[in-house]
Amino acid sequence: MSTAASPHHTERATPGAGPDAPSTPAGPAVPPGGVAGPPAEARMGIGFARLVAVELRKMVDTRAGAAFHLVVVALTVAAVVLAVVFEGPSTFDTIRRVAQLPLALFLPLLGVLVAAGEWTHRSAMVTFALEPRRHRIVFAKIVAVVLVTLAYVLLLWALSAAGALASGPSAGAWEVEPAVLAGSTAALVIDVLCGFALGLVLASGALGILAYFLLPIVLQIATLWGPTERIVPWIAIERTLAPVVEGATLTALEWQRIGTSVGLWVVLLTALGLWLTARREAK
Amino acid sequence: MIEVENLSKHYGALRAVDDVSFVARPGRVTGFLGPNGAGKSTAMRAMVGLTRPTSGSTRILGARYAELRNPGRVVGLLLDAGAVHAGRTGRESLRVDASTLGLSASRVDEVLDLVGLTPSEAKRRVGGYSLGMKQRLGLARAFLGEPEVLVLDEPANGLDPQGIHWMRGRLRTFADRGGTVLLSSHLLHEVEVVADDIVVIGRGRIVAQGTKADLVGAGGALVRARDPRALADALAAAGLTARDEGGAVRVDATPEQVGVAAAAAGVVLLELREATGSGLEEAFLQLTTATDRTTDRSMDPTGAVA
Ligand SMILES: Nc1ncnc2c1ncn2[C@@H]1O[C@H](COP(=O)(O)OP(=O)(O)OP(=O)(O)O)[C@@H](O)[C@H]1O
Ligand SMILES: [Mg+2]
Repeated sequence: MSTAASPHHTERATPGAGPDAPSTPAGPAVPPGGVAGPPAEARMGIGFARLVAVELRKMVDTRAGAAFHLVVVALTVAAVVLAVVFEGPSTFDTIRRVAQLPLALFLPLLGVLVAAGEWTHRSAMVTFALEPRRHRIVFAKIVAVVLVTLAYVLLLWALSAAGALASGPSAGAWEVEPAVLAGSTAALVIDVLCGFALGLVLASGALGILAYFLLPIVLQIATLWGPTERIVPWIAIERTLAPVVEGATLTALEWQRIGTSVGLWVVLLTALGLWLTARREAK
Repeated sequence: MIEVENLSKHYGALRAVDDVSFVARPGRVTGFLGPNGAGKSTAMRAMVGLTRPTSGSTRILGARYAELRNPGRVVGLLLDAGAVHAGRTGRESLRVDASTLGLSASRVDEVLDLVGLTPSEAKRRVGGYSLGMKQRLGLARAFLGEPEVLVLDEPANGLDPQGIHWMRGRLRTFADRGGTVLLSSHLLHEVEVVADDIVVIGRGRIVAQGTKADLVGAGGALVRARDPRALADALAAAGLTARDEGGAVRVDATPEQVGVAAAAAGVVLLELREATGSGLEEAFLQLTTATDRTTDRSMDPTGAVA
């Protein structure tokens, strides 16, 4: 064994003698193995907010996780700077459109990685032992990933505003339609949730990312083939969401197509993922 | 208390765990003994729902594991010390669990200290840990929630002799204070040293179970007398079967029965003891041979110490 651990063997025996008991002296009066059943805190359960906080923490407490977020922040800052420097007089919204590209590219991958993480990194055994109701972990991850996405959107807006200020006074610098902001944010969140659903179903970061990039390509190719040509406009998310991103007033047909595509790639896929997660063997 | 009832897990045609029932009682260490591939790990995963059992159920303190609202405060698990995110530091890995359980960060430092991971080791990423360090981290995790029940799959794996010694003492204390301990091993010696009750599994089925005393008793008594012929007569008169084993005689009876028989016949004994160790080993080999995959499995009891 490692020599590093051995010098402490003697230390361990003495000061560690206190918590030797299955429950600390200060702990509940229930004796270990007593007939009283599980202690009170054990019966109370784990609050959902706590699960969300833990999932948020797990996104940034590894080197890879921290690096991922640094890269996304750096690219967003870089995009804002480039937009200001090369676009001449920039408005808030022109900067935002450019700087949202790194988010649109990377955050769905975050969705995939977070959903698949327990299986990719073998932590499922511990996570699902502490919370056997696995769907609660999945929902906590969904909430966490949406919160992070919204935080990035706020950062994006703040940086875009700073960029607009820095590029000097120009006509209509602050003109932006609320519907555009809301629509592009909603589209981003939906993309992230779609990535999450793919990661959840495939239980693999690599496969999930591959699927996320292949999906639009496959659907594009499908438009070339008669029988699927008419289906694609209903299920290709980036097509159905295009009017949303532009803040357009949606027709009934457009709403139906959005409902169909989101229902398929987010709702159905997540439901399938939940079903699979509950059955998957953690080992 | 862990009550396993008719637990089965089939992988296609393979019955990895086949109708396993036993009880691990509070205040006792229960050893789950079986050769490689016997189904120990699968059974333990099935007990806590990490693997969906094909049939059967497990009750822990009277409840199904999934019914426990904060199971980490009731059951301490070490099922696979390697199943940890390699990118987290040892301490962070435990802190994540501590916050899930609703425990403070100071509890993490307590258990790290307990298992002998130094602060500088705890700051390193788990990916760089040695086997024994991962095992210590796993043990720290098992103790984290101050559980009443411990389920440990091969807890001695990778520990140095001192670490093993410490762990045994720990489990003994834990059980003596009323806790329930279930630990698995493929090494007879490991189980023999620490367990009060033993459940032997082979090819997914329970082959034997009972107290250690019962199973050791199966090894019989070893006795030596000044007059071997007189002893043989005395044993025969008492209806005990015996066979010669290079100077000593092995009797299929408890030392007490042998002593009583010898005293009744006035035979002078030079040595009388329970045929421990080798007796249980023989029992284990006997019990598992029937379900063993190989005829020539090495079960070296000296190898068990390391
Ligand atoms: N996911 C799985 N799919 C198919 N077979 C499996 C699976 N998991 C375990 N098995 C099989 O189940 C049997 C029992 O395996 P298990 O890991 O429970 O044995 P074990 O008693 O823990 O052995 P060891 O002492 O080597 O740890 C083995 O034959 C193994 O190959
Ligand atoms: Mg095993």
